Amino acid sequence: MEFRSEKFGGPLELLLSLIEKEEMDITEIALAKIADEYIAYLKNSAHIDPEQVADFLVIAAKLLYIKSKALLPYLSTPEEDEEIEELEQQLRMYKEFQEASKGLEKMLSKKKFSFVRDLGKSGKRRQLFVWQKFSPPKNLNKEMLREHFDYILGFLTAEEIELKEEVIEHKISIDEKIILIQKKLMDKITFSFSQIIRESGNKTEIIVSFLAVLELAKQRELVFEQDGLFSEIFINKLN
Amino acid sequence: MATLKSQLESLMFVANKPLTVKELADLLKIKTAEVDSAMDELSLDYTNAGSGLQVIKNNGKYQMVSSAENAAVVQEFIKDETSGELSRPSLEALTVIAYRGPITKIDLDRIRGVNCSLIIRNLLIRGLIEEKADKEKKESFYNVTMDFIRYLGINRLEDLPDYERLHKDDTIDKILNREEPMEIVSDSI
Repeated sequence: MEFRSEKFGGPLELLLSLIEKEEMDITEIALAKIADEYIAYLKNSAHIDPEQVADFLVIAAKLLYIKSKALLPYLSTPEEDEEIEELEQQLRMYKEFQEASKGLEKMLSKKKFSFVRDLGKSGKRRQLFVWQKFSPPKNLNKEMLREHFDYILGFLTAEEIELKEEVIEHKISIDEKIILIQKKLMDKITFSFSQIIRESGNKTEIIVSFLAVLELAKQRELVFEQDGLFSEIFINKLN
Repeated sequence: MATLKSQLESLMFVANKPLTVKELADLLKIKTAEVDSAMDELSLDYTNAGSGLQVIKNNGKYQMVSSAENAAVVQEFIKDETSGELSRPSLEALTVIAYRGPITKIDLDRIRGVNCSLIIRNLLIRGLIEEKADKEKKESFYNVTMDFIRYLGINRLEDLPDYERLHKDDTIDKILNREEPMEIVSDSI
């Protein structure tokens, strides 16, 4: 695809160029249609400035939603639909400014510059569009630096985001449980399932234990017996 | 007694830098509104007369410059090699600032859909935009500089094509003022 070799300055620029390539208007349908191409471009992310990857991904997520909505319309929610509407509007707005910037480019290319009469104290005209040479302010001192820094600090509101604390529970895997039961079977030839339940810390562990017993039964390492509905299950070792 | 307009004209001619409305008003002991209306008139006089001089205005500052029409010959005289070339993203950001300034970085990001920190820095270094901190809102606003106005060869931002529409677009305002900001990754400080 031809666009792949091009470098885009932002996700909106890429979106717009894809839509315009299809000669479509900025609509939800158009966005759904170009979602794959957009993502194909992202995969080949060598063209994307690493600093901008996040911005590109935000839009990718929106496109994927739009596409899934086209396939499964009943899954959409009003809030998400609003987001699509906003993306469309944002894209239209971006398009306006992109066109305006072409207007500015044209104006600049005419080189109809105005000049000031002043040549400055150095006798040299201050030049634009070239890197200016180092020219520190004359009256700068360290006190001023400190004052400015305090001033800047005033801008930084202490916004400490408190992360929710959550204790991560220890999760036991079926494999671990199987080994535990196998060990148990080496000590005792028969034991009840309620014994395993007692040793289990929580509901998940009970379920895992039950699955482990079933797995071992399948592997023919044990058999279990139950006299009646809801009565005790006995686990017996198989040789 | 010289008229206000002619006094201002003399000051513009002699001044070696852009003068603010306030400086002019203080100097002449008149109200800023009077300065503005006299300067507008002066600027229009130059334009209508097809003069080799123009008065440009930006961000509450005035400056007398050579007419954009004569750029080529002036450039030859002062051996200025200004190319006016800018990268596409820089030009885009500059366009947004020109039409929507004063604008905050977050709004610029929203319009372009991408974090513009680096571009802003480059534009600042090149003297194309300037930053103004708002102490109360604790935010920085960006405007294009007088120099950029000169390089566009216009007298004021209002002379840009479609300025009224893009400057006061309701949809843009709506998007920029909406409650939930776009998830744009802001640069760290």
